[in-house]
Amino acid sequence: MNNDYKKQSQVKEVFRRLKKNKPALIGLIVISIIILVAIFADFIVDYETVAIEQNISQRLRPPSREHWMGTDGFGRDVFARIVHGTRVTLSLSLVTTFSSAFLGSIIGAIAGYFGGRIDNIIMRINDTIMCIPPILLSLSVVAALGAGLRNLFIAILVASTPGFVRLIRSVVLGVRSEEFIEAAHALGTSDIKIIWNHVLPNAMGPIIVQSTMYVAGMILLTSGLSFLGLGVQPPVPEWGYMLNEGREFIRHSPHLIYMPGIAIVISALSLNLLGDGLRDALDPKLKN
Amino acid sequence: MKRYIINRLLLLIPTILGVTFIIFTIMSLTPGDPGRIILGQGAEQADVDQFNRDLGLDRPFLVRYVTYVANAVRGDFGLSYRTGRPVYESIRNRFPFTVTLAFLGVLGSMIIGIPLGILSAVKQYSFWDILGSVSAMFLAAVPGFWLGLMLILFFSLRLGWLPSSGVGTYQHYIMPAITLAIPGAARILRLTRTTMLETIRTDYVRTARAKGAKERTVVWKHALRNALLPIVTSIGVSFAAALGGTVITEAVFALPGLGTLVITSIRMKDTPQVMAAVLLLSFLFMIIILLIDLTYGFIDPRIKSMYR
Repeated sequence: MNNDYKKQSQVKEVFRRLKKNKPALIGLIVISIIILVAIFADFIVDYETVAIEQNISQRLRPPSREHWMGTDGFGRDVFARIVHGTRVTLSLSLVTTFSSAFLGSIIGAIAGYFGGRIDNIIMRINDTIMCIPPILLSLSVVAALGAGLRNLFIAILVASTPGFVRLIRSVVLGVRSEEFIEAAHALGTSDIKIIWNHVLPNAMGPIIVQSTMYVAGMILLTSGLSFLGLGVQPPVPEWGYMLNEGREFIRHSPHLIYMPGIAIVISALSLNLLGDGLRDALDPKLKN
Repeated sequence: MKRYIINRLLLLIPTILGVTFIIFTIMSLTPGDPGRIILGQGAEQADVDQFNRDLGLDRPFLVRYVTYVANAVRGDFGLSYRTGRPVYESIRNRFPFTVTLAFLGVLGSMIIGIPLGILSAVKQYSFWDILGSVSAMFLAAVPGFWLGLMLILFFSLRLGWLPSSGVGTYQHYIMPAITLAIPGAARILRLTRTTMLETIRTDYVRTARAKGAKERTVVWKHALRNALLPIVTSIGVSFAAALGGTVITEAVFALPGLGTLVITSIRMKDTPQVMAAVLLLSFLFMIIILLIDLTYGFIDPRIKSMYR
């Protein structure tokens, strides 16, 4: 009971600090709107008839009242594709971030909690993986497995987990010597339970902050790989791939370049603002 | 200092072996058989089997790994699935483009990021500080490939000042270098600002001010030199981003570097080619990290004295 009360008040406190931070609040509002757009995309414009169906007689129209953001090389409405692209890009970025945060937390917690030889082995492997620049690592996974959504997910997961492992391990190292861990030990709690119930909850703050920032990075990475034609396959609307398709018409239809880019920038920017604000709110000491 | 350098050089060997092992493991996940890909669909099954045996593909994984490393040491990274020729041949000519581009990118982000970061910190909450922080925030969210396309739209298509693709003159490097530099510059600016703000508030800076040192001396000598360590560390991150970013940047500007080679090789399922390029770039990255670690010793006397 006592514990519940404290948890709630902490969340409240963090939210109170966050509300005072204007940029972070703007970030939160914008990203909430973007998430709502992703959830209700089907109610805004129909996927099958507007975002996917080609209409050659209407191709490469500049923005107008009928087509707010113009049409692309296949005569598809760019606004509809951006709206539905929100769903693809955002869900992919969120899923990869959560997966690598989850995987990274478990591995990092094991390394930090047990220490000694286990820690040594895990961190050696982890540091070695981090010697390969992330984009190149993703590319080599895609090269081995082939392009496509599932393989893109694996590729990004492989490249982004080591960062989490390192972060969580350092946080866990700090928590490990706390008295409540010792108390749990004395009560005969199993190691897995201690990690799950006592160590990880105390590492939640940095995990959340890092994850928020990561989603922004993931949006850039997924759209980048899709831009190279290695991720989402046509005709699925994805912002990076829309830019890839739009390149061909850059001279006469620059709206095909402006719109998806602006969508990426707004999403990444609002997530960065929110992440910055969360960091300050969760740990006021860090604020300069 | 000498012992430190030797130590770090020796540590490089297991790391290189480890990185090679990881890349090799990923490579061996590739489905399909190389003999079939190189010789084509029309080849006899017996020939394909013989070819695979010649490549040593019937041997166990670890044996193949050891052979791969032994060959790689001599500069032999295997045969291209597409051309059947050693992959090193196509890498050799492209390597300089990518390296030049990555270095220009990192150099650019340092030239932009560090001075603006110092300015922001020294004049905290001024107009310039806010402008710097806001634009850094904004630029950190701009994907490199979109920035590149926007530069092409503006400087090549609208103004006609710079060529939009290919290589030849120094002008061809301007936009790709800017594309690579901007995201890094944003990160370095923010980091420089934060670390400078921290050091400016330390006791020794207050002491320097109290004893009447000139503001310029305080900033450049007392504050900056102490703030330099995290900044130098972040240059390593910038290099990782730049070496990866060249792939995308080269694709945008159609530069004949390793990046475009990697992309076409992935499309052609030419795995050895991709692996060789990724390996070489990773080696380069490790050497850069090593050099950065070594400069710590020169920047920070405390580290130097540890290894006397």
